[in-house]
Amino acid sequence: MSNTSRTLCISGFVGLALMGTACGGAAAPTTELLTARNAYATARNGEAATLNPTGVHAAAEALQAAEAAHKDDSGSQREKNYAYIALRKSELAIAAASEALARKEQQRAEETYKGQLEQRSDQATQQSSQYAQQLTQTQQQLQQNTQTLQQRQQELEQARVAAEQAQAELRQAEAIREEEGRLIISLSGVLFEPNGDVLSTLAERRLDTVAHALGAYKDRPIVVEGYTDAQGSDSKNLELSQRRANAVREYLERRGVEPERIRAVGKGETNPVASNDTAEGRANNRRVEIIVDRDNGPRSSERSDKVSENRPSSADNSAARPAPAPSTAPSSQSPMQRTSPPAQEPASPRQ
Amino acid sequence: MHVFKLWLPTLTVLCACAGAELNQARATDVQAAVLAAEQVGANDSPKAALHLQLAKEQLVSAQRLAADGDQNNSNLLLERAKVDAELALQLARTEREQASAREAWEKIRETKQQSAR
Repeated sequence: MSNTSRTLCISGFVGLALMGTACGGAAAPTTELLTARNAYATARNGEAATLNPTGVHAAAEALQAAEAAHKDDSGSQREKNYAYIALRKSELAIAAASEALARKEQQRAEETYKGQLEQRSDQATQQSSQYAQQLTQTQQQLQQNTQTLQQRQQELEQARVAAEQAQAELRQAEAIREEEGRLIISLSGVLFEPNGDVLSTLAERRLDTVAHALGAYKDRPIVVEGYTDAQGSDSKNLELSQRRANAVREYLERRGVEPERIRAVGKGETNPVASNDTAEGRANNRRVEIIVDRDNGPRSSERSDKVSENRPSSADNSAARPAPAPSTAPSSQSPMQRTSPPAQEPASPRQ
Repeated sequence: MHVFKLWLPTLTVLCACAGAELNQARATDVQAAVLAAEQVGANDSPKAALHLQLAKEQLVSAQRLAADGDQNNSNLLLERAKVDAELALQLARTEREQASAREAWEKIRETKQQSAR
């Protein structure tokens, strides 16, 4: 017979004993017995019944002895003693059940804690993996950036060397000067047929060198300015200088200079660099200036506009015209050696 | 524990002097239960300490009854002393387990708080 079955049998016996006592009109149970009965009922109806059936069974046996003592000798010290023992046995059963329950709780807590730790460990592993991945990506990006930077530095260095070479070539071949960050290449001499805009073979060769050199100044705007001497009318000179500037621009474009960064401006007989009184001076004034502008500075057009704005109107042309150049005009001075443009236009009679 | 060490030899001396017929087997059981209860810290728990004290007092009373020749009541008191000592032991163990369970859940709560930060 299992403990539970035996406990039930004893409980039945205890119940019958209680009923018999009530029906038979026996003496009332002692306070100790009543307390023992209550404690046993608590044990039997509580968690102890499932968690500690052995203890409950022991309590039932003890209560059975107390009930028997009550039946035999009601109110005796023996009854009280057995009731006392029964009470303690019930309390013992309840306390042992509480211990088992606490142990289960502890076990459940430990499992929960273990799960919590595993979860944190998984999260940490996952996070660590993510960090490692991010680090790898960052390192790769850094490596790429370093390579790009090195490549860019190489390109810049190559461009610098190319620019220096180009400038050296130009210095050898043409007059070149710098003004406020702009590079001005001045081509004079026999560039075109008289009164025409067809480039001479020699001029094309010179422009080949210029086009090659301009390749070193990529992304910088270029202005081709055409000039004539003072012979002929202003309007004709202006128109001729425009056509000649266009011819140079078109040639440079054919030689690889990007069309979007080059434009041509005819300046006519303005801004002479030498006296128009001598053949040599006029030859120097018949020129084309190729201006390589700064990256982000004021455009050469501003300079051109200023020149245009400063031009006097036809009504007071003679009054506004600057004083004639001194007879010691630097006709013998090569424009290649000058670094600033002439400030005044000579007032020689037009031819 | 110290008290037990003091009263145990005293009880033995009393038994020897009186020449009473204390049920030695039951008395030994009670003494063992008392010692076990003290070892698990019954004195640190108010409820367990109460039953431990009752066990000790009843053991002494049982000895006196035996010395007076009341063997039956002496045996009954020994049974009461034993069950009180067992209850003291059980209560001490239960409280210890309950404290451990509380600590375990407290640890989980702290871990959750740390994770939430």
